[in-house]
Amino acid sequence: MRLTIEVIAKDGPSVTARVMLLNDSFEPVTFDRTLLVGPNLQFKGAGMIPVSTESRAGKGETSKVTLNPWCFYGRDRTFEAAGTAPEATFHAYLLSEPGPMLPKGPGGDAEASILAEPVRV
Amino acid sequence: MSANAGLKRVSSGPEKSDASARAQHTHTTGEHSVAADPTGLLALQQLHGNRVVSRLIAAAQAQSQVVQREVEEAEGGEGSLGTPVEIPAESAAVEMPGQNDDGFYDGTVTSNVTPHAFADKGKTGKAMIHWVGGTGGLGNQNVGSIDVTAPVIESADPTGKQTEGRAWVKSGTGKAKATRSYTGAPWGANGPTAYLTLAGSFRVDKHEKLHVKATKAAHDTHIKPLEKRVSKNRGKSSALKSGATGVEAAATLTTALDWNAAIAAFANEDTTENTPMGNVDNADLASGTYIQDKGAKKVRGTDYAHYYDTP
Repeated sequence: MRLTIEVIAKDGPSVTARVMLLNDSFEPVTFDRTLLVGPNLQFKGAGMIPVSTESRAGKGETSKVTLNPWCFYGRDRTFEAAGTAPEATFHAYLLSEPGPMLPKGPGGDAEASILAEPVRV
Repeated sequence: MSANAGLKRVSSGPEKSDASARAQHTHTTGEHSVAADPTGLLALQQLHGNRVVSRLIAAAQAQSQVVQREVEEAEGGEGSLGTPVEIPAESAAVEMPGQNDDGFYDGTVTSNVTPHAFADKGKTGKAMIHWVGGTGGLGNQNVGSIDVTAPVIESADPTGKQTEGRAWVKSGTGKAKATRSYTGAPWGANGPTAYLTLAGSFRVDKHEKLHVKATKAAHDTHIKPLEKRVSKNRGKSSALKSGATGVEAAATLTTALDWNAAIAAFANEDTTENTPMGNVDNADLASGTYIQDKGAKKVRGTDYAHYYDTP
C-alpha cells in the first residue's frame, strides 16, 4: 500500500489537499477507513487543529474497505486559510489499530502502518 | 435558540442522605436484594421494622435510576456565520515588564501569543471557532501573562534595645495576579464551511479548562509560595529582623523574596504548557478524545465542508 498527499487546488488562501491510499500490490488488501488520518494541516504557530478523519460506520455497516490490486481510496479536504499560513504542511497516515491521532502521526503507543511523505504548500 | 434548547437531562435521584447511605450499606452487607428478593425484604421487615425497610426501598429506587445526560442538537444550531480570515503566525516570547528602583519586576508580564485555552474567570462568551478564522476556542489572555505590583521594601535601623535592622514589604505592594478566561465556540454553523456539534462545542470548553488548570498549577508552584514569602513580612509589625542596619535587613529580605525569579518561572512554565501545540495541547490530542474533522456533511439541508465532532 502506498499513501500519498497531493495539493490539488489552490485559490488564494484556500488550499485543497488530497490523500490517496493505493494498493500497489497484486492481492486485495482490506483496511479500516476510520484509521486513515489526513490530510492534516500544520503550520508554524498552529494551535489545536482537528485531524481529518471520517465518521464511523453506522449500525449494520462496516468501515472496512477492500482495495483490489491497483485500486485506490482517498479523500479531499479544503482548508480556507492554508495558503497564507506560514510553513503550511499537510500530513497523513494509516493507523495499524485504533489509537490517539496527532496531526503528524499517531500518539502514545499507537503505530502507523503507513506514513505519507509530508507535503508543504 | 439558546444552547440549552436541545438539552434533555434525566436527572439522578436526590443526593443520598446519611440515612439512605446507611440503609444502602445494610442492604449490601446483608446480601439481600431489596428490589428482587421478597423473602429478604420480609426478613428485614421483621428484623428492623417498617421504617427501615421503607428507607431501604427508597434508597434502592434512587440508586436504580439511570444517571444519563442525553444530548440532542436542536434544529439549526446556534452558530453565527462569519467570514474566514487569515490564520496569524504565532511564536511565544515572554515579554518581561520593567523593573522598579529596587530592581523588581513591576507591571504586566505578557507575551505575543494568545493561548488556545484558559480559564479562571471561565467562559466569557462564544465566537466562531479559530480553525476557520474566528476567535472561539481561544484564551482571552496571552500565555505567561500576569499582573504584578512589585514589592516596595521599607527598612529601619535598630533603635533602643533593638540589635538588628528591620525590613518589610510595604502594604499594598508585592502582589501578583494571574487571570485567565476564554472564549468558547457555538455549536452549529461556524462560518459558511464548518459545523461544530454540541459535543464538539462542549469539548472545546473542556480543552480550554485544561489550559486554565495548567496555569493554576504554574501559579500554585511559583506564585503561591511567593505570596507566602511576601505575606510573612508584609507591614512593619511583621518586619524581618536581620543584620546590623535597615539596609542589611532589606538586602536579606530581597534575597528571601526571590521575586523576579518566581515571576519569571511562572511566566516560563505557563508559556511552555499553554503555548499552541505545547504540553497541554499535545497531551489533549494524545488522549484520543479531541474533536476531529469528519469531512463534508449535509446538516439539516445545509452543506458543510467540515463537520467537527468528537470521536
